[in-house]
Amino acid sequence: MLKAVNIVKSLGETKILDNVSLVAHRGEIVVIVGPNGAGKTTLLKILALLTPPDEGHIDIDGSLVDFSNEEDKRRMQEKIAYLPQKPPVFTASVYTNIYLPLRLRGIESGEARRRTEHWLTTLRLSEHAKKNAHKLSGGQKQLLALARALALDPEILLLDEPTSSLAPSTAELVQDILKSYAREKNCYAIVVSHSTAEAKRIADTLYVLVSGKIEATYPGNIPKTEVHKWI
Amino acid sequence: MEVSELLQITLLTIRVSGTAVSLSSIVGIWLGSYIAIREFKLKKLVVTLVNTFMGTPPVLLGLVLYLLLSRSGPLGFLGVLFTPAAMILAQFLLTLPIVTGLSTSAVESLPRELKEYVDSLALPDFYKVLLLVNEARIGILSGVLAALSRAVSEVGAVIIVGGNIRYYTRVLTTAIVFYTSSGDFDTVLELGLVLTVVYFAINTAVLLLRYKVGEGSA
Repeated sequence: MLKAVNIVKSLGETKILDNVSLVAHRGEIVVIVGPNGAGKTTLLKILALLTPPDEGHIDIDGSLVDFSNEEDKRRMQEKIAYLPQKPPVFTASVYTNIYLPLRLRGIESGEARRRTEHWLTTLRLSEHAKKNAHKLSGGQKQLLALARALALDPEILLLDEPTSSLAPSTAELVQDILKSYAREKNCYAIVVSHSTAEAKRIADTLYVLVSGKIEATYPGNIPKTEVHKWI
Repeated sequence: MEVSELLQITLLTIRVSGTAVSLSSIVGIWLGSYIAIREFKLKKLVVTLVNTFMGTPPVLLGLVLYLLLSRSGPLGFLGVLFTPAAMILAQFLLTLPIVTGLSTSAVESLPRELKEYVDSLALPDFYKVLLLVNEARIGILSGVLAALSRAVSEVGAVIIVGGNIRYYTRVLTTAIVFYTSSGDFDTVLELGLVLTVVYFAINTAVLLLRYKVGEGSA
């Protein structure tokens, strides 16, 4: 189980997250929704161990994360793939953008090549493989960043609005891939979303975050009207 | 001045400044990027010190080095005073803060998302630095160019630790000082022209390199 327990995070005088708790189970997708400035991205960054909470803790499979211990944090981060809201790309080819992080993480070259080619094909990026990543459109960059995250074969997948720049049909493809990926790999998947349709389509559990507080939680079958109410 | 002497002076200038800036780039790019990616207690103080040393007067640095390297100084046993090695050391120390400071700025000015993404990869610092240096390479190259300009044009440090010895430690700038004080203005103008050409060639080479490495950047 992955747990964020009583997370508090402030920026100066402003409380961005106020006693937020969240639980994720393997093989399921947790979706966090909420209006702009609700603290969704901050929560995801804390889960990605990129920023420490002021109070509260993160528990991954029964191990508490010690944010002050760089080695411990790095060991935990090796299990995580994080997709930022505005996914950055390296100044290199599309292929290298996926392949390089795998090699730097110590994955053997044959396996890294296999994974790179698999995700290029799955996310329909094969024809752009040799193109410089900066020459891709916004949506293609998002697909590339997603491919890069999934290729890492993470135990914890943290995605910040992964389909925000995609056409509806491509967004649905990605949502289907995410659902089956989480089930097959039995990994934790936490997705921040602004899309009602997406939340309804992929969430096993829905958290509604408003002004830094969890306003509602919907496990299981989420009524569409409820989702609409919060986005 | 004979052409052979002019050539020797020019080549020594390029060798001394080129070696010094190559060394300061190796150390400075790594150091500057490391300062940019790590959070530590005295970071602001370190950055302020680096920025302060960027403006070190060459004469002052030359004097300090002279005292250190002179026979009675703590580093006198090295026996490098009045040799090209001492000149390289002086220009290395003079350009190191420039490369370090501008590398820090270049890496720090990369998009936050990119730095966070690289952080999230849980890589050793060495790989993080490599990835970020590659992304910040245009800014870093500007830093190297600034360092090279400073090295080629400075006179204060190399004249003190090099001694301006003919056929041995005389470089373009120290030769200009020497011939100016001798009143040989024709030679000074010749040397000035050569210095300008060298400077122009370095600038052109770096600009071409910048253009080359900048292709495909965001």
